[in-house]
This record gives sequence, structure tokens and C-alpha cells, in this order.
Amino acid sequence: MTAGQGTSLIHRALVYSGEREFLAAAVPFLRAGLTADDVVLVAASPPRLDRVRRALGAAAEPVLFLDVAEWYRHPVRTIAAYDQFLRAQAPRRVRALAELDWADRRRREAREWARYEAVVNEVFGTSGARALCAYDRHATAPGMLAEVRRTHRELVEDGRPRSSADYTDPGRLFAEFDREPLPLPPPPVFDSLPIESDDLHEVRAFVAARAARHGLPGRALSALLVAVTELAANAVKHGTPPMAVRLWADGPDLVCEVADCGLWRPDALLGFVPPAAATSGGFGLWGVRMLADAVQVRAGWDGTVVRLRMRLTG
Amino acid sequence: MQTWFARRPVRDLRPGDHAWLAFRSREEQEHVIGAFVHEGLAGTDRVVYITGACPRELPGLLTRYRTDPDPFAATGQLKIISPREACDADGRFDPDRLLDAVAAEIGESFAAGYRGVRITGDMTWAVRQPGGHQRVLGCERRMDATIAASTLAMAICQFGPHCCSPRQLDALEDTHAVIVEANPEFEDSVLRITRTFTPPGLRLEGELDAARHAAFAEALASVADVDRDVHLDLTGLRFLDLGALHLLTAFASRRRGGGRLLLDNLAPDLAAVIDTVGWHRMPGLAQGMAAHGQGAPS
Repeated sequence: MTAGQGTSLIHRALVYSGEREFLAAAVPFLRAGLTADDVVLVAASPPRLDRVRRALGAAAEPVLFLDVAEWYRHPVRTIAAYDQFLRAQAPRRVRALAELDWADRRRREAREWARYEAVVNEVFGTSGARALCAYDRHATAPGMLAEVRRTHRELVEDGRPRSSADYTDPGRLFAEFDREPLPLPPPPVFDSLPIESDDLHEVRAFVAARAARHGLPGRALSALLVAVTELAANAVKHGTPPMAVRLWADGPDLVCEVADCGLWRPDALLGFVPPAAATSGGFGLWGVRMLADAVQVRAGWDGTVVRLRMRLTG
Repeated sequence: MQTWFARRPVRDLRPGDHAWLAFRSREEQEHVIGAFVHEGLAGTDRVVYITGACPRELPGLLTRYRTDPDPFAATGQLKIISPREACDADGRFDPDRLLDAVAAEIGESFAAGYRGVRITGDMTWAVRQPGGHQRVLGCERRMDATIAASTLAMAICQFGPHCCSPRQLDALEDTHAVIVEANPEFEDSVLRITRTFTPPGLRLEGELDAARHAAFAEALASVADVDRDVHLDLTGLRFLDLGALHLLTAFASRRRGGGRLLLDNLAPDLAAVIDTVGWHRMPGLAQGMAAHGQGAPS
């Protein structure tokens, strides 16, 4: 058995029914990693972690057990964290079993995690990592399972491994997702300021005042200001006037979008890929995705909109 | 003991200001004093310089500000007072002689119709004499009274590196109400960039975004040759965009001098933004002195 980074990623989805089927796939996967001296980690809910630990018995000792609620909060940050983790472990290979807890994740978030699964293929393609992503057939919406089959090259369903016929190139998948209309248009009443020059001081003053009125905490506000400035600067550079920044509250979120009438379509995939340095291409849009709680980009014949969401409670 | 100083760029000095400059390098002296003399001569002020140098040797005037002082010396708008004139027969610094000479020059300038008179001199030589510190201290107290009362005169007292002990230097500094510093490299309603010399670097105040990247890059270029750590004092910086992080990283990687680029006094919110995108994506950059005077991890 060979250990080491630099070989192809194996990114496999496990679609299971019941605990026995889960453990029958998960335990041999983890044991194989321990035999090969891989860095082995499991990210799941605490009860699930306990069951895996018990099933591994004494062999569980070198395994890293991570609470999925901590490790999988934000897709772009999770990718950046894995990227850093893999670099830190090099040249050892990393083997990860992950199961997200879908109980309290909303549909919009599910879509972001589908993008995450797709980007893993791109970012870690030559990391040699072995990833097994577990999905409970009965707790996962059918639409999501269809996406799982499109974001994983390999599937284990009904206990049998096979390659996925539905696997889709991440770039194509992103383009498809980006064609869907934004879930909600701005409400009838929202705050708006035209962007009329490259001096974005006024844009920040406007956003800061409105965000404070909605109760956005200070740390989140400074992240939002950096993100909005980046988007507005991009719109000024690539977009077509008239351009505007708009804000409104949507339930627990503050929504802030930058819109123009051009079609400049920022590379969505690029925004998920951790750049090597601040001087690398794509650092700006990736930084926006790191700083905002969620980012949605839509570009069409009638203009480009980049929508940021920030949670109003810390 | 005086505990409050006004800190002012040289271009904002006004009559009555008795200002302090403890320069650590010739470059700093050229920036500040060069501007002080140049702005006086280019305007309608008389300049009185206490020095053993000849006009063309005045710090920064010819090299930095491309001002030929000889015509001004010929008309008397630039007046050089040799230290010898401020010394007694034994070569000892004599405050009375200097103060008399300065008072005479102020009177003469007024009579000649000048709108202002700028007085400066590097007093390092006088402090270094045996017993010099006491004599200069007494002189400075009286000078402060003279200048502060004047509607015409402003002065910069210069002290070079290692001219006396830090405590003695503090005592001298306390006799001045104004600390003078270099003119900003760039200033508009949103951002001000000022060259700093101890430690070497730049001070940024306000907000830095794409509209001012070009000015910032130009200011950075002025510290590219520093051969040790370059410090950016960000005490007054309220906003920094992602493009500026790109600029800083690019600058750190192609600097000719050695050493790191340190971000001093970074506001916690801005530090949190950089933590999010990762310091390791900015090789050559490090957090320097922490805000609120805490020690630096670096």
C-alpha cells in the first residue's frame, strides 16, 4: 500500500439505510486508512462520533473525531480549513469520513454544500485524499440525493460500490446552479444607493449606517464592508451603469447586494478555491466568500447581481 | 512637566510655533527641514539657519526639493548664522549670543517687510559640549518664550541621534509645544499617508481602497530600499480592502531590502478580516506591535 499526497483523490458518497449499513461501509474504510498510516478523521454529530468510536474499539486511538457542527459551518471556510490541514499533514495522506447533520440546515444552505462537494473534486484532485461522505437515504431529500450523485465520482449504494453515471464537471454544475433565479427578489421596501464613482467611501458609510440600524454586530460589519467594497470595486471595473448597493433584512439575515446592468459573471468556481497567496488570481472573490456568511451570484442579460448574507445574531 | 504636544506636519507650522525635531537619520532631516526651508523660500518667508554649512549643503534643499539657495542667500531671504557667532571666546555655546542674534534677525525681518521668519538649526553640537545640555535647556526655555510671543517667527530645533541621554532628550523636548514631522506623502479627504522614520515605514490614517491604491503603491515604493523591517503604523486606519492586501504582499515579495513588513496597531476588526483570509497567504507580512500597547506575536 502506498501512502502520500500527489495521487488522485477518491471522493466517494455513501448512501445508506440504517446503522448497520453505515458501519459496514465506514469501519473498513477507516481501518484501511489506519493500516496505511493515513491521517484518519471523522466529522459527524457527537452521537454518531461515539458510535464510530465504539465500533473501532482500540483502533480508534489515532483517529481525529470532529464535531461536524464546528467543522462544517461555512462551505468556503471548510474547504480552506481542509486545504490548510492537508498541507500541514503532508506528505501523509488524509482519509476523512464526513456526515453533515441536515436536520437544521435550510435549502439555500443545502445548495451551498452541494457546491462544496463539487469543489472538493477540483481543489483536492491531486491530494491523494480518501473522502467518504455519508448520506442517510431516509433523512436526505430526494433532490439532494440526485445532487450527491452528480458531485461524487464514486457511490456506495445498497452496500455496493460503483462509479456514478451522473457525475458532472464542477464548472458545469456551478453554471447550472447560477442560472436559477435568486430565491427572493428584494422586498418592496429596501435601502438603495447608486454607485457612481470608484471612491467607495460613501458606499461604506451608507452600508455601515443601514447595517447598524438592523443590528449587525461590529465584527460582522467590518467583514461586510470589506466584502461590499470588493464587489462594488469589481462592478465599477467590469460592470455597466447604473450600479447600486441594496440592503434589507430577511428573517435572521441581513442581505446586501451589489447590482449592475452588465454581464461580467465572476467565476463562481474560482471563488471557492483557496488561493495560494493574496497575490493569486481570484483572491478578491474568494475573500468575499470567506468573509460573508453566504454569497450568491447571478448574471443574466439584464445584469449581474452579487448577493451577500450576514447573520444578524452573532 | 509638559505632557501635551501638538504633532504637526511641517507645512502646517505657523508663527508662534516652537517645534521639536529629534531626527534619527539624514533622510528624516532632509524630509522635514528641506520642506521647512523650501516652503519658506518659495513663499514670502525669510529663513534663518544656524549652521556651519553653506547654503547649498542645507539638508534636502538641493537634492530633495531642487531649490538652488544661492539667489536667496544673495538677497538675504536666506540667512546663515554660523555657530561661531553663538559661542564665546573659548568656543563654548553661549545662549545669550544666540538669543540676541535670533531676536535681531526677527526684528530685521519685520523691518524688511517679510510676512514670516523661519528659524532652524541643528543644536547637536551645542548639547555635546561639556555642560552643553544645561546651557541648551536654558536657551530653549527662553527661545520658547521668544517664539511663542511672536506673530512672525516659527522655529524648528533640531537634535541629531545620540546627542545626549534619553532623559536629557526628554527634558529638551518638554521645552517645545509642537512636534514637527514630515509632510504627508498623500492626503485627501479619505486617506492620509505619512512617511515615518523611527521605526522606518508609513503611517496610514483613514480608509484605503481601490481609489487610492496608486497613491499607496507610490508611497510604498519610497520605503522599498529600507534594509530592515518596514513598519506600517495603522493606528488611524479604519478600513483596508482586499486589494490593499494584494498590494502589500506583492510589495513584501519584491522588496530589495531585507526584513519583514509589519502591520503595527492594527484595529481588532481589521485584524479579524486578515485572520479570516489567512496571514499565511501574505508571505513577508506579520502583525507588529498590537493595538493598545500589547506585545507582538510575530
